[in-house]
Amino acid sequence: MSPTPQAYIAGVFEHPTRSAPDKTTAQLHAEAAAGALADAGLSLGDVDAYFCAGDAPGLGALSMAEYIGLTPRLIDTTELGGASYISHLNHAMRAIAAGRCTVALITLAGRPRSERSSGKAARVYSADAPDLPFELPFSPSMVALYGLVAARHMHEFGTTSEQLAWIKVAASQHARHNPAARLPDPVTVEDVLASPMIASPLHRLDCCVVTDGGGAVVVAAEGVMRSLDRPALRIAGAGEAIKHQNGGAVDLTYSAAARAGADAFAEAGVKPADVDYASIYDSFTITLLMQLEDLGFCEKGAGGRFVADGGLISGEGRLPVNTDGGGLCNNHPANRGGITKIIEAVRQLRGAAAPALQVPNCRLALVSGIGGSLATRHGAAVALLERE
Amino acid sequence: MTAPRPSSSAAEPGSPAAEPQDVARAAAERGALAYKSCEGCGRPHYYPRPLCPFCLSAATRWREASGGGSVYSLSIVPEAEGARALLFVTLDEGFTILSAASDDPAEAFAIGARVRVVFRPDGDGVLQPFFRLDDAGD
Ligand SMILES: [Zn+2]
Repeated sequence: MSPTPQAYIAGVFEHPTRSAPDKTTAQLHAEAAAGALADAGLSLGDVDAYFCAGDAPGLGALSMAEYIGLTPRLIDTTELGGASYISHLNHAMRAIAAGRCTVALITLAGRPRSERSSGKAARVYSADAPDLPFELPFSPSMVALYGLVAARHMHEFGTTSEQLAWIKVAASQHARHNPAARLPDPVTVEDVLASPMIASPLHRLDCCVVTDGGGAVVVAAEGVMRSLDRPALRIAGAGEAIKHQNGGAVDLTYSAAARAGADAFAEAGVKPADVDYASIYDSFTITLLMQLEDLGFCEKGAGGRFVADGGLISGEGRLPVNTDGGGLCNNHPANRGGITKIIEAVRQLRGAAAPALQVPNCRLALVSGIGGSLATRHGAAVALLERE
Repeated sequence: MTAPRPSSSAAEPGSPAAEPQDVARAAAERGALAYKSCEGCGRPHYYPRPLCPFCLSAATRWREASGGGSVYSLSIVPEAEGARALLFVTLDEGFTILSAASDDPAEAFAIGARVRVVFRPDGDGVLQPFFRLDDAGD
């Protein structure tokens, strides 16, 4: 029996813009696609699979395939909010393993900064969402929904605002090495605590940036990968899950990353202690803290102590996390940052991160995303990437 | 735990096409917080659906909650017109619902506080189940 065909990340591109008032979202998708294909050394005609999420303009993949000029034989528009693109990575890997495609393109783009969309208002994805009549009357802004999760975590485990603030401090210490970062200046714990309260216990600086932009990833089968002048970064394992209010049996102390992470680690045959670098979704400080615990980097409830005192700062902390500055300081395009998580992990595995933050001999990276709302319904997707 | 009271016939929709929110709205106008309970598996659920999310049985029945509960979590949102508190409230019937504080100042609410349902109009004038502090004590 021949071994399962392996899948590799061949190309990535993070759009350099953080504000794009003069471009359409479709154009940003196309520019991201062009950038990732150029990075891989591939061309449009090589792409036989296309992935985007449900927020893509027009009729999703139909409109985007026409606009970009793709003729895919495999299409996937799985929508898990910001976790979508890590889920796409998972599905691309399985499609390649099944022999259904050889070059998969994943794109994300959006213009929330130009369109003045942020987490301070309740978000309505579709007017016929069955939950809407029972939730929208209470104006559940995205920040307040994550505030509910943070408040319960503090109540259960004694997590403090100071500990959450350290997550922003680490991101800012990384962002100062990233010339493209939306917020390139370092901040202190005191700065975070002194910033305006948006929805308790989350301050303004507990929140990610609002940026226009996009990104793209190219996944290739082994035969294609070997023909390219790029390090072979294998997708060693992946998992995904959904968690919701479970009919009213609400438990805010864990996320779907617990199940997604367990599946990813099992498939890759590795454990959290093996991970050299982690890209962990940081829409808010609490989002990152929750995943750290659920992925097994520390015990449940110990996340606050793990992140405190520079725990996530590359070179000095317990685990180097989000060395691009993350969504908290660098970029959160389309109000969904999943693809930037993949891109910075690839930089680390290629040895192409900011020199001051490069993890020496980085061989195993974890990528984790959360999409939707931790408090009500969210998706999680986790992948482990290995440099061969 | 308060035993669930069977709903009055007025809570049962005359038309099978009535949406759960319409039934809940009719109950709210009578001062009752309507939820659903499953005759297949016995579990209550919220938000209310025609099919039980625990076993997919269509044998779900409307019930009225006692209206008492406790705050499971809260987030206080400062606003120009005064702070709001978004709440998760665990009702005495055992399920947790998303809601918001009313009547009492947002800052007076805390996790674990006893609360009681009050029906107040939302932005569209529809009565919704908000919660005030339960100063009757327990
Ligand atoms: Zn049931």
